[in-house]
Amino acid sequence: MRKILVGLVIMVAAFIPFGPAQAQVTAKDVQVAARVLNFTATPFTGTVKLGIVYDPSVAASAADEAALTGILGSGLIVGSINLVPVPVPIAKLSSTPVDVLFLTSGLGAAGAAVGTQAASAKQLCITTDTAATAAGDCAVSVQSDPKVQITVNKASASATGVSFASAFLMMVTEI
Amino acid sequence: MTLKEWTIKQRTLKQRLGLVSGIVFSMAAAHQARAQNVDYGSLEQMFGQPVTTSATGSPQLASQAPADMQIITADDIRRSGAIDIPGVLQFVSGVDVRTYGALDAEVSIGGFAQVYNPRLLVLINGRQVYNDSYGFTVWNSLPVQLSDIRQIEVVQGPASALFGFNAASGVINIITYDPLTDKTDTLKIGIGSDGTYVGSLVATAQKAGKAGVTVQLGGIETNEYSSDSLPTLNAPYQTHADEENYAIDGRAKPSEHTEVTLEVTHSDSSESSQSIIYIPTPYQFRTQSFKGGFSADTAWGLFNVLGYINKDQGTSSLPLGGTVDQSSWNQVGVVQANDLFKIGTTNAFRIGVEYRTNREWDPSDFNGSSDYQDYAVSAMWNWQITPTLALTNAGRIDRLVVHRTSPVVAGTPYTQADYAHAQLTAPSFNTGLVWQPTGNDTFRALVGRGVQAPSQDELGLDVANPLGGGITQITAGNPYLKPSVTMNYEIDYDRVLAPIESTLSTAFYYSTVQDLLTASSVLPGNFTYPYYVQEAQNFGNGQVYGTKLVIKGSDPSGVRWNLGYTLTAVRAHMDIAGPPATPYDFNNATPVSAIVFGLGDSWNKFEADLQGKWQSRYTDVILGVGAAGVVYEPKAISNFVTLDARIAYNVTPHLVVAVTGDELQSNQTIVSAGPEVDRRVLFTGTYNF
Repeated sequence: MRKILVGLVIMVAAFIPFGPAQAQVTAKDVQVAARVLNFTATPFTGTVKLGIVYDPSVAASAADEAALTGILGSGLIVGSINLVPVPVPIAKLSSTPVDVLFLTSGLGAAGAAVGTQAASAKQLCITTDTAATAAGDCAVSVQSDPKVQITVNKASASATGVSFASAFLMMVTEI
Repeated sequence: MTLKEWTIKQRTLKQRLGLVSGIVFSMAAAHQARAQNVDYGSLEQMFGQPVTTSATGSPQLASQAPADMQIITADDIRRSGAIDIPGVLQFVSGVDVRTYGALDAEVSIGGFAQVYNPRLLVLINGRQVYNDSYGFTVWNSLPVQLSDIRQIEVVQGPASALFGFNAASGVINIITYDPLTDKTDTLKIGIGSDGTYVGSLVATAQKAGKAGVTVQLGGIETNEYSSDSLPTLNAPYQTHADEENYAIDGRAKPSEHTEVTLEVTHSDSSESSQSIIYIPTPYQFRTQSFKGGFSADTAWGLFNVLGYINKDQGTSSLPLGGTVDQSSWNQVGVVQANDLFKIGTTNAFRIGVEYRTNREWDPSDFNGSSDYQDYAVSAMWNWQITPTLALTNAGRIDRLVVHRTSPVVAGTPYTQADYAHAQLTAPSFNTGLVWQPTGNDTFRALVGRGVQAPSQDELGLDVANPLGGGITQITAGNPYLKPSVTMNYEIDYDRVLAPIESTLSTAFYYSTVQDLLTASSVLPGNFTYPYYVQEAQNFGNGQVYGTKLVIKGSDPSGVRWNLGYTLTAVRAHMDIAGPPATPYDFNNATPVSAIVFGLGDSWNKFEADLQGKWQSRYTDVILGVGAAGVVYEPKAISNFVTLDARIAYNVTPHLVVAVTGDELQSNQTIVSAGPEVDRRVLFTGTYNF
């Protein structure tokens, strides 16, 4: 009888809605972000320097940077891409050469500088912070939990000169 | 951005319609997207679930598609141990697979099960392998190796708005690996009971992302099941079945934004097949196809042109008071073009045109040849109303025109002018509202109108057979047939059950079918000396009430499970008699209930799977000799269980050996009015190089 009750509890629990996903970047987020790079007009291949833009004084941002650096290690191979992390303190944003920007979460209004830099250097920016993409600070946001969701800010992408495959755009949320 | 803010940001519907009216002027600036075409593998890896284009023509996650769809993955196919596609499909909930021979099966979805099922469209990479002559699929003639299949997309419900005629009750779209991006190199050989031998080779040469070609060839040879349980009329009986086929699929990217495709296929098969008059018949079928395609990712969207020619030859030896050999040729040519584009951020469109010409010829069956042309335009609009709510509308109009230059035979109830001027216009549509309030819940409300066009034979067959005594039998197509229309209303709900690592899928539907179609050679005729005339007819209507409940899951340790229940209740109102006058008994022809179950595990170097299906009783039909002469005899098929199992061992990372058992529940099982199905054990070795 106890087993039946436990089983019923599990079944009921299965139908209870879950809360919002934790914002901290995960290995799965990184995999999704790397796959996005396959769908730009000129797909990235080989070694890609991922500039992890963070503010050491913002806890969430610093935590994202630490998590991301740990996930990527000395380089993470995803498909035809070797994603190499380059920590970029936001104060040194314009002076650090990278291929793609990754905007850590929690930067708030300071994230606008990343959008400006991306437009100036014609660099793709990716983040897990959907608010930053909605604000136009970063062209693409990715989430992987509970399901993969990709959001593209059309204006931001255009400003950075980045375009995507039609098939890709059919499957993402454009704003 | 909150949902409210997002919603406010969207334009009103009126503004959107204004946008659509300016479509021609705005498309060029709609977006600057131009890169790759649909890359199933990369998209699937990114989203972590299968991607499909079978619902709308636009790439979508299967879980978000506005259709009742199940995806059978390459892993599912491998673990099934099946040697052919019906063997894979038999354990898919909602799919009724009926075995009539060692390599002969009929597949139906959504009721109205019948041999030569004309209501289910089957395609390989978008090329139809459904034969337009009688409107059927010869499953063992499909030129594809199971090891080259990326996924099989099973759509339940009409999908004519995308695929055109004959996607009346559903679609099975077989997607192979892409030689541009996937490298498939596999050799498989096997030997089993009942004199069974299987072999297949798939090899890919590629310059990744630039060009690639996959060559695949394979075959199956086996003994037919015993004919002991069949009526004595059905001799001679083919005792051996085999199939051989090959396909060469080449794709190249002349530039970053364009892709060309060329494909050639060939197949030969020989089997005991349940013929359209419900009698086991030796049947040889040969197919050839040539396909070419071009696609470009442009500022105007993703543009595709596809053209192909299918040429089929069927030869049957009808055992009716002696052997009557019949051969016929059917050739279909199709050219289709469509453009898929997005306007703004929330509206995707597809517009398309299609031209199809079909011709069947046979010195006897058509007194020459008969053909038709079909012209179609189609459109799709997907509107992402909010981030969680999407509405998709798709429509298509087909205009079919019959041509006949050969003279009609004496006694035919129609003139050459009747055949020459026959034409029909058939609209179809699909509407789907998909709501995903959370990441774990998906609701779908679906309405669809599907069209089954009369087959080439039903429209243009014209045969005269002397019966003796000065009497001539005329079997005639009917140029005034109406297409059969299926309306489907459906509510689906899917739920991710994370605590038990499973997904629950439910579907509840109600369908109506109007103007059922029957081939000319099946119905009793009218006799006016000296002619006995049989002709094709629209013969009734029907409804189907259906439910599907499926739970499927797996855990990280490698254990996997699935359980599904399907209810299919058919209520048909036919204007013609049932057996023994005709074979039609749709109220009892489909099992009302079916339960599919599976359990598997992967550990160390082993992989083991058990699949089963229980289905309730139904009534099949066979043509036999009764007290009243040659009549259709109903045959009650009791409920039965099918059990298949496979155990595989990975000897090395490249070499896998496996043993598969089919129909483990019994030495012989009665599954249809065909021969009893034998248990089969098969040993295979697969080398992935």
